[in-house]
Amino acid sequence: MSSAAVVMMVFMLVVYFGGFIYFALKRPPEERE
Amino acid sequence: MGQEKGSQWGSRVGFILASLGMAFGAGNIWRFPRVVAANGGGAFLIAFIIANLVWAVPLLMIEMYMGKTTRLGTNGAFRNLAGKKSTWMGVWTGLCAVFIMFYYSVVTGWAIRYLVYGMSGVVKRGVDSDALWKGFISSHFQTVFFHFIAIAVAVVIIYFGVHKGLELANKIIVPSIVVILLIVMVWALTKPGAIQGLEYLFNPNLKALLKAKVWLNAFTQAAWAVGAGWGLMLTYSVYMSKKEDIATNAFIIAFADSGSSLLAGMAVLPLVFAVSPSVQAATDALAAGNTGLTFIYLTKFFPTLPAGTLVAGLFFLALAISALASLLSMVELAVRNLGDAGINRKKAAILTGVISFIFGIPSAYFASFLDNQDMVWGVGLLISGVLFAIVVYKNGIEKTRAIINKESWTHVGAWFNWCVIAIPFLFVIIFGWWIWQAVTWYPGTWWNPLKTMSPATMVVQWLIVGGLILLANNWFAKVIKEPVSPGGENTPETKEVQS
Repeated sequence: MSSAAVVMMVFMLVVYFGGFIYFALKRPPEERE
Repeated sequence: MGQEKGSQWGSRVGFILASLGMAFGAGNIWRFPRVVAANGGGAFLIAFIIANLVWAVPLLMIEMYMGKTTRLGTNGAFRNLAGKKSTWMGVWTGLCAVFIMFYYSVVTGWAIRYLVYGMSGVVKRGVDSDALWKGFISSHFQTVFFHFIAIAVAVVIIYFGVHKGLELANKIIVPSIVVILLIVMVWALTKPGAIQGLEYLFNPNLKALLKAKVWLNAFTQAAWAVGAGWGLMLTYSVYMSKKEDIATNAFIIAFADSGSSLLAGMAVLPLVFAVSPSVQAATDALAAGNTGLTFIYLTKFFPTLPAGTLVAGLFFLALAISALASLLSMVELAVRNLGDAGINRKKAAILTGVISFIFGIPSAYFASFLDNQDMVWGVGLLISGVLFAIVVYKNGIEKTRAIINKESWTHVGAWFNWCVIAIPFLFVIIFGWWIWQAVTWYPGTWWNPLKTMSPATMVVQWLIVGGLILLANNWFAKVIKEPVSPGGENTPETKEVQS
């Protein structure tokens, strides 16, 4: 597997699963306060 | 009473898992990896996530807003938010999903059949997978029987209600799909040649982003894969608790569905390359269509590798339960609308099952009829997406965004307004492209409504169904009762917007 494909894989995993984790960890405003 | 008392998701996780079960269907497993491979790999993945954010996320938010605000299924939600004269728009949206349910139950039956093949040792070294598939698909008894099994299982789950049926089933199904796909992915990646599948998936050729075809396929996949604009999310949102969020959940569902699709791609593409005897055989498999890839190529090559028979069983299990979870949401949509008309859940579930079984039989008998219905109502769903946007125009885009923000933990910016404005234009582009393709593929028959895959058959069926529901608009508007919210409280906000 080429290093460019590895970079693309890491980037895509971060975008797809990072987006999910970011929103999944969000809490209601009152809980954050 | 529109809605049975106490009908509500038991937890936020339960709601999200059920929504993900709705979104993640067989198409995510057998279509997404093929579409990625055919559209530039990494470039398509970038276009796909953008398409999700522009088309799917705003539509998920609109559906959640409509379901949560009105506490009614598609027919009632459109009636209360767009006005009685626009009830037909909700009926169209619901009917598109119901027509899809008729043949989707047949497809779920195919997956169940192959699960049985996988578990009973039929998928073994030397199996003539082509003859196996042709033997099954031409056996009307078998296709109808497994269609019956699929719809019967769905009806039994829906019969037990939102909390004890739908939520419980999805709490088992969705994590199981993820675990199975992870097992298949790890198994495939340990095999020689599998890494070429990842190379295909993450091909870093970003020049492909300049091709219109890549973007059109990305938007088409986003429109069909996430299930936004089908009325299914609206239906599930009827059972949200009052304090539940809209925007954050819409993002979670879109990202989780996209992530699961990526996981399916990381399992299926290495799998295809691992089990294929040559790179040419792998590319032929990817070009063989959904059923060709799954039921002929993978079935043939799975058993040639160590533990392949076992992994084949797991793969078909993932396919069958992901199709079942999506089928559940379609049955629930029908049951919700019948419930809004005063029919209790248990009767509505049985009625939906009987009707779905009967109207699914033509698709079980004739694969060409199934293909026809898949095209007619699959494309019809794009119109449903536009109808959701029209509801927002009628109520005011800014006002709708303000309501969504009031009900959300994540602030929705002005980008939402632009996405909603873009939806009809995107429809025109995607639909126009699709028509152009159909004319190119069938230059001599595209105008003939009696041909299976002609644009004319699609338009004629739309006109017949659209005309009938327009004529019956007032009856549909009248037959829907006012809702009672999950806690049994009245929801006055739904009454004040009626016109």
